[in-house]
Amino acid sequence: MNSQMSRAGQGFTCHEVIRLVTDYLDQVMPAADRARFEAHLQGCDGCDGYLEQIRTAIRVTGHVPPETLPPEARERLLDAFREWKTAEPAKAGRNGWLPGKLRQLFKR
Amino acid sequence: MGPEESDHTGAKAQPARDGETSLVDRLREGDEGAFVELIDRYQAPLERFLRNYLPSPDLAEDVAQETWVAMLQALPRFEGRSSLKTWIFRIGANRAQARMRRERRTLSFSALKSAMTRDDDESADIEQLLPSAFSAETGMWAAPPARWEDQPETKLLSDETVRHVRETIEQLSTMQAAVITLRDMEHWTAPEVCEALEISEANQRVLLHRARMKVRKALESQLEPDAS
Repeated sequence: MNSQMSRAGQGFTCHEVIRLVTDYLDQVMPAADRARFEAHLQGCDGCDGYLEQIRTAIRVTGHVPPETLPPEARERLLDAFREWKTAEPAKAGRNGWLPGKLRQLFKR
Repeated sequence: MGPEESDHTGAKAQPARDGETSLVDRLREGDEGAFVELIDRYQAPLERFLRNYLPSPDLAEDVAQETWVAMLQALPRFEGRSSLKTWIFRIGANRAQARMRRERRTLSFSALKSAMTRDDDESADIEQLLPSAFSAETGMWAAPPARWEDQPETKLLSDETVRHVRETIEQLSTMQAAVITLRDMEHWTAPEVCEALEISEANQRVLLHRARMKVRKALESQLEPDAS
């Protein structure tokens, strides 16, 4: 493993690479650190594999399916919007003012 | 009307994009098509996001509706300083937190306990989240970690694996779960998340880092049951 080399030279240790993975992926590292990070990956199968595992974790998280909106919930929202619209939108921002349907939504 | 419904923000503002500006104009004119567009785009993500704050899907749906109403009411004062999307989610997060403060007075002991446990876990020991092939003592890899990217898609993205990840995220602290939901499920950028959650970029990154470490650890036990 090259962690010996990292400690001896100016490079990052494996521990540091693990700690900085999110900074690296978000591209918020200074250019010099980024270069050191990538140099470490080049020579370290362990950290390279770890980075790929994190990328896989991100990918799997992205596949969690969204909830679906039941049609009746959508209808309730549209009813509320229609009421808001007919009741003079200009008033809509004033404190304390709520049309009936909207008031019902709050009570539910 | 709470201060959360102002779109003034300390975070680096992501001003409303062109498409959003016309959507806001149409909403103000009472264009129902614009509202339909908005709820079709954001209602499901909003509910999923709010679930991180609230103990039941019913409560999340309720607060989502409250969010839309608050958004419509505050619309005349929306100045486009933040994006419409982050503004809506910020209203939602604030409403959900207010609702939880009220609910806590009436929640059952077990529900309360589960909500508290979630909020409590920022102090969890980071060492335990390291890969099992890594030795914290020597600071070296005992063996290179398994190459998950070489596993067949059917296994990586199987219902079982994805469900396991979802359940892991449900166990995270509220803020970790909120951040990873927006970043890795909804594919928001870091500045967007900071704006919606009113947190610093550094804090956002710490929360995301820990959340991803936990998801990775959960995947390790799922994909390599014999490890550790």
